[in-house]
Amino acid sequence: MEPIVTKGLTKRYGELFAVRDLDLTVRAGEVYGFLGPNGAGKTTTLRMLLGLVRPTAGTVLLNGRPPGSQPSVGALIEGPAFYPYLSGRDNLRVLARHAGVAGRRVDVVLDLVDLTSRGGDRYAKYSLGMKQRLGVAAALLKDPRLLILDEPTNGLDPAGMADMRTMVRRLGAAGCTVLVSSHLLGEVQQICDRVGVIFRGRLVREGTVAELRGSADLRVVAAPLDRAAAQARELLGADAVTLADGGLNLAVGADRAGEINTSLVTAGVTVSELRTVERDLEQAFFELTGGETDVG
Amino acid sequence: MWGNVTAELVKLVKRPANWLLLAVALVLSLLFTYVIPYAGYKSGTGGPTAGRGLADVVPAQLVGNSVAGLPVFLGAIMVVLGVLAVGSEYGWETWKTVLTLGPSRLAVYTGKIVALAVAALTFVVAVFAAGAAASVLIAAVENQPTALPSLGDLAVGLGAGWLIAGMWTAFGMVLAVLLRGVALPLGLGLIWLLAVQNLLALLAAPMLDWVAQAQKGLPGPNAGSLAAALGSTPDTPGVDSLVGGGQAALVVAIYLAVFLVAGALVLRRRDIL
Repeated sequence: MEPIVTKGLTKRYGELFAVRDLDLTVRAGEVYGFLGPNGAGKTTTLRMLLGLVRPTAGTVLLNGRPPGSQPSVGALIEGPAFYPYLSGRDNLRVLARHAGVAGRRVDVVLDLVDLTSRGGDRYAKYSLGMKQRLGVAAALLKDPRLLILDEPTNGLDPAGMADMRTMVRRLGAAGCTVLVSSHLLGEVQQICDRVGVIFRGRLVREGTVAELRGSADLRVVAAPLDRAAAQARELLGADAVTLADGGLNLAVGADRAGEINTSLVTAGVTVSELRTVERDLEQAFFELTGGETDVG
Repeated sequence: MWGNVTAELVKLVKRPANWLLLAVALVLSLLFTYVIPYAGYKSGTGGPTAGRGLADVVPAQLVGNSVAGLPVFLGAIMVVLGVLAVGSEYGWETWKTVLTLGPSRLAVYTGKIVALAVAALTFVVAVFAAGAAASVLIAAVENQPTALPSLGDLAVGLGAGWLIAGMWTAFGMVLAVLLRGVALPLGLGLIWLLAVQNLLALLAAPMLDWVAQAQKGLPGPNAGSLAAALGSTPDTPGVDSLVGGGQAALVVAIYLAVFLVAGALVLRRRDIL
């Protein structure tokens, strides 16, 4: 049974579709990246998965059952939220009571996120990174088989982000299904098996990270630029050449770099830079959405 | 279910603000029920409560004196208690943290109701206990009879006090659910309790008969009537025997039930944002 299946999932606020006709399937044991720019509908979708927000239309099944009262689902949605007057440990103890989890599990999850030594401090005094880690600890309280993490690296420093990625990978390796949302392609490509891209409430693409990003571009900085551009168009066709930031972006694979260099030099062009550049998310989105501007 | 109740109890007990509310409730009730009337009696300088004399602060009056504050100022403190317990879950966004761990909204809300019922009873018992200590002390010093009311009378008084305190706490809870926060429900709840009710009773009711009649269906005047039926002096703000004690208790109980059910239904239906 698939851990997450949504069919025609839709949430409408008045005239605005926050999420529209979303068919999402997350397979058992995979780390699934849910990718989209801010405001694309990621968090609304995750809130519907967890039963916090009621869909306008469509269905959600988690492990074959409707959301709510799931025995083995953990989640961290839109940043950590705890009782500021309680210590980290007391926060988890209170949540363990709500979740019907034995109190001894609290120390286990505190240790998992490396907060044991600071467990007695008031939550209000925690740094952002510690708050985030406590959020993950709460999500792990029920020893979930399905973990839903919404932008888990938001606000973390580079070391914290690396720790978080390591932890997600470790959980995935241990057989836990993880759905992790992000607006950073670089982040999901390091940890995810598959990626779904959501844009303006619709799932516009689903696949592996490599499939999603397509091939990398070649970046050429050369002088004179106009002669370099003309030569490149002759060699690769006009469609593959774009002028950008005082250089050329060539939509060809790295295997043609040598050939292009020789051609440019032969034409009397001085090449000062020639390297592959991975397309960033903005480009991927631009291509995926194909100029679509309206979903309402 | 039991886990939700104990979780809510831990949240209540460990929150410093709740102990501050209890302390304020005790200080205010001792001050206005015992210290000021007794000081007025000793100095003999008059004032609105001086006429009550020593007879009003002896242990025999414990029940009436203890529930007298509940229609207005202790009631206001209970509204704050209810708003804080529910509204903070919106303010801190902790609803999502709790609910994504699996318990149903109604189970969590029921846990809150039970925990706040315990808290309301604790407030009422504390006010009775502090009042008993103060009145016995005054009676001993002034050579007045130190006998407390009968156990039956005490039980009825505690029950009625618990009912009124619970009704105001539930009023705070439902306001917090409807307005999804702390500040606005707190402000509006207190405006209703401290300003609107008094304006209706003191200004509108004497002028307009239909307001006077309508008052008999409102929570505050019924709480005041219930307190009056138990011996609270009508000098206390909000205490006035507009209706009989039995009817008042029934109306207050109906408001309690309506507030609880309305809060639960709205919480269950709405999205947690």
